[in-house]
Amino acid sequence: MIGNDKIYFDDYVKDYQTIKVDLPTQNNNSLVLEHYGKYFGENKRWDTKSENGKIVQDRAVKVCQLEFNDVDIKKHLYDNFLFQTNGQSIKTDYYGNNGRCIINFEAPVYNWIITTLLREPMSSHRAPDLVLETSHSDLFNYESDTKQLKELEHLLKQHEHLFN
Amino acid sequence: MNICLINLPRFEVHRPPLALATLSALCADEGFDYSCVDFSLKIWQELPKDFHDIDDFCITKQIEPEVKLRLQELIDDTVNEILSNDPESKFVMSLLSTWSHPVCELFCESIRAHCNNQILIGGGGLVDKQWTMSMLKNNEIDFFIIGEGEITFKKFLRGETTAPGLNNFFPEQIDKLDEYCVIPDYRKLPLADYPYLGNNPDLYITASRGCVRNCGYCDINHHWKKYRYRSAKLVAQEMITQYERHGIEEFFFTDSLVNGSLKVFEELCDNLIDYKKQNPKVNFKWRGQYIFRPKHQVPEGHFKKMVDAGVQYLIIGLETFSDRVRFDMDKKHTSADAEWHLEMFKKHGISCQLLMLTGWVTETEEDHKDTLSMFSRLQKYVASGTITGIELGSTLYVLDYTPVMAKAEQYGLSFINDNKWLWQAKCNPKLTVPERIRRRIETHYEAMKYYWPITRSHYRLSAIKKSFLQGVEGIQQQN
Repeated sequence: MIGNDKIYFDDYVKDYQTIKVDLPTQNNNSLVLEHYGKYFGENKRWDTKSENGKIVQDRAVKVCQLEFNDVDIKKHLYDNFLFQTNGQSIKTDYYGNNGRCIINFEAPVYNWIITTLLREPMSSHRAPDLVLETSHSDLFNYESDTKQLKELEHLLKQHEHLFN
Repeated sequence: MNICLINLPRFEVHRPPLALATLSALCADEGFDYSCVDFSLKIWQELPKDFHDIDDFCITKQIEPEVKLRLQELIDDTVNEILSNDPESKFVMSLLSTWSHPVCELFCESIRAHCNNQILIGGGGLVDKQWTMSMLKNNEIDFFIIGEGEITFKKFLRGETTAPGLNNFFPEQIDKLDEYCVIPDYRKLPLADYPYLGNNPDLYITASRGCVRNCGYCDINHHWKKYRYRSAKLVAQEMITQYERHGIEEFFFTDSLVNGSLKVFEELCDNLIDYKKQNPKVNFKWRGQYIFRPKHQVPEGHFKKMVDAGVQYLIIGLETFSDRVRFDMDKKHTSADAEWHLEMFKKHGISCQLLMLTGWVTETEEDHKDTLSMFSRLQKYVASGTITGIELGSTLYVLDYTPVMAKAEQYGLSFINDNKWLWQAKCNPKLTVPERIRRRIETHYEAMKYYWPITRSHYRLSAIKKSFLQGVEGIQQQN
């Protein structure tokens, strides 16, 4: 596990293992999850063994959870951070080959999660259970909000003396 | 003789109207032949280009002449169609709110022009007593029903013309809902035609009436004097029946709060979990309004049970991030309690929408700053997908029959032009109308700074602008 070019974890992962990393961030950051050193017959060594067409022994890493500051982004892994192996990019959380998954992210990390991973799916999400907003479509339409807020600020400046 | 049940706009078309389905079941119980017209859906289907203009007409009562003409033609066609099926048909119209008045008036006019058949109206739209009485006195309607239809509508069907809540404002209240509530019958509504919000169709369901809280800004306790609930078993039975009849697995609870009685709420969860165990293919999902409670009342097992029973999404009034203000509102929970719930929601995969209220009567600048601090503090729950929306509101509107109005003298409340949004309180002179708007604007900017998904921005900000300009005009006229 490499964060901003510094190795934070370089070892065998056994069973279920939680790896916690305290990664100092800058504006642009990267976290690399790399699976390496798996043998596929090199020097007659195989890490995968099969019997009768069934794999009976293997070496792989499965990402079960991927948290940034207590927020799990695992569900976004498939669509946003592909596993690069043998010249291919694969949507998977099961790293069975040697390869790496590079997660480029920005800080503050919550801003990055919301604007990069959540914003698009949520923009089309309509307030499901509040009545009477038939025109509602975009929860992140800040441009339109800002325009209306500026207009209100202008009106306040113009008329607030009347309320004194 | 046929009873024609009509649902009037303004009503969301994203879900079939529960009132019509309930009235349908009552008609069936009494052995009446009936038909259903969801006129909101009809506008959506037949006048799609005019839909938003008609929606605005419901609120503003203003409409372009050509749009009004098309609306009147659709109403005339609908009335003709009903009468061609049964010239003796009685017309029963459901008005969700006072925003149904403009279309209701057009409908009554059209019915009167075609026939002398009886017209009855009912629903939340009748809270405006003056309007309701004028409709009756001007012979635009023959009957109105106030309160709980399960008693009064049945009496009307039986031919009774004098009953509590029938053409008077003294309804009878049902204490034991189980004895009167029916399973809503949607079989005469075109369920497949509705533009549901999610991927699957869903239905409204009501498990309780009234509220266990008495929040300062809310008038619910005026309309429903007592909090009453149906037994968990019968609510679960209603969900199961709709599943068996229509294959519908998703529901939205209309209750002011789904967890008013924790005991019954958990029993409902248990009933649904049991049914799901016996019928593994069924995947009930449900949503509704919920209240945060003190942490000690809701152990972690509560949240797991909710998820196992199908709870998916909850709407919750947080209102402020100042404990002092929230207790002043009589909300009975702290910000720490709210955070506990959010942490549990995050852990168990429940999402929610928070409702906020800027500018409570006693809110100070310090309280306001507490609320601003919320957006960074709780941003984690936006990032985790736990908070999927925030409603920032239009600042406090002092409704009649609310605790805040009852304390008007104590607070020293006065109103510009008798407009209940344009209030000023002697107890908090710094919180002027412009100051409330300023805080509301600041809250909005803070929410955007931390990338919160803000619902109904356009609607809310437009309402603030309109009300503020009304205030300006009122003061200028006085001067």
